[in-house]
Amino acid sequence: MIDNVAVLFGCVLVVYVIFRAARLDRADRSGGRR
Amino acid sequence: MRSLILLVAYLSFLVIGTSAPFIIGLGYVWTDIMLPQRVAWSILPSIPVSAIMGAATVGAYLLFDRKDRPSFWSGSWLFVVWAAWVTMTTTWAEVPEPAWVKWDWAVKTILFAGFLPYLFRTRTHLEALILVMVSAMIAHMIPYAVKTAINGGGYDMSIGLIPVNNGWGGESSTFATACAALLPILMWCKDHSRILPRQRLLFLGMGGIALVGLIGSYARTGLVALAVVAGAWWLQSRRKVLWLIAFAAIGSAGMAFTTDQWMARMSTITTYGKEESALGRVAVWLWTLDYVKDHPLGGGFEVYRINTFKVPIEGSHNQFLEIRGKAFHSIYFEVLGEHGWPGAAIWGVLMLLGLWQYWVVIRRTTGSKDLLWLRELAKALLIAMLAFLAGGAFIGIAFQPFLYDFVAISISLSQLVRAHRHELDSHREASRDPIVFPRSFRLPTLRS
Repeated sequence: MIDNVAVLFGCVLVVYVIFRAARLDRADRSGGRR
Repeated sequence: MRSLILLVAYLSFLVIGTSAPFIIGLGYVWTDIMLPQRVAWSILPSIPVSAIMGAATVGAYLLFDRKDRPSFWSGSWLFVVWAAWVTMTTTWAEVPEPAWVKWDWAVKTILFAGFLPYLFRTRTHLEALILVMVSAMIAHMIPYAVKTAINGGGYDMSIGLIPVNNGWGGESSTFATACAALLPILMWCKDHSRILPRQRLLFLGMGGIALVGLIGSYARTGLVALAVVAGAWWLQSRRKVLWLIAFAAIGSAGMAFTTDQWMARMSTITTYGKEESALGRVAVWLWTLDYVKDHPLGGGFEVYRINTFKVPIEGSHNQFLEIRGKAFHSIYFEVLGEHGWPGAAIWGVLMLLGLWQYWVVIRRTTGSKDLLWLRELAKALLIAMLAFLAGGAFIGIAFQPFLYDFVAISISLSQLVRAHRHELDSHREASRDPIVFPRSFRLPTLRS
């Protein structure tokens, strides 16, 4: 049970991170920011 | 259910990666640290997850992302030299079969780390990389922390996501070192994250999980790594007395949660001369020094399997225990024994390059408000790398991804500093200008 909750937390977090990162990257590229 | 969740996360990298190729590179790093093929019960264990993600990363980079490339000579060449040397030593390995098995994953770890600076070139890329590492590590730490809170934890107990000695999350000492190294990174995320802004409580909570997990692992190595992190924080703090009080308060609170067994195990740090496990380590280190006298080019991967020696049995007189095939239990002796003096030199230069680049980034960005995040990130990663180098003195993790990833990120950070050099130079010039006093501070002029 605890293990499954940990996996769920880690996976939800990582998917949210890459989703946000892709959006920010698009914004960076359109704004020419490094 | 667990397998399905991991499969969805794994596929997310490939799907979201179609719009931003660096995301697929993040997928490889996540696979390397999360080890979904070992955590899942079904589907992923039957798929070559790393190979697919690695091929997709290289393919996506070559097809869509070859711009703003860092120079090969900024550090990646050292990874290639290191990979070439470990390949050479494997050709004369003492135990060829297991040596080639280790070579297979070790060389991929080295070469992919050398490729990381090409993938992660902006603040967003680097922060995403850090957060993906954090997400993968924290998933392994939560079960340790929760089970420690419930039953007190224990050394080499199967309380993580993967079985004992089946990857970094299943080996107490490596796990504890990773917990300590994660702390400065989490503190950076707390203050500077743009991807997960205003999440101070989330990162502080993760810090607590890492700390409880470290205690629950019962690993003495973790305490050494934690001492390095605490020492570095103390050295760079301006309020040193306040920090000492904080450490004392946290330490006392921590003591209240530890068991007598934990205290007994930690106290053996100072009595290493009497304990069999510690004596075995010292014996294998001495064996390594002897071995490289006759084999200065090293004996290839897994050469420790040929060692035999005797150590005195605890509490007995003239009785010895014969030990065969004792692992190196130290990154330094692992590199020296397996790859000889030239290998130790190449690996040493690689590590020093990482530490040096972080130092240079910190120096170059001092005083720049715009690059405060970069300076603080370099500081956090420098501390994390030092924690791994200190903890690594007692564990054989010279070919696990963490240290190589830290060196690779240091190259990316120094490339970012290079990209901002005009800004930094003009800032430096401005700070050298003579002081101009505001009007109210000017001396009144005498009127005739």
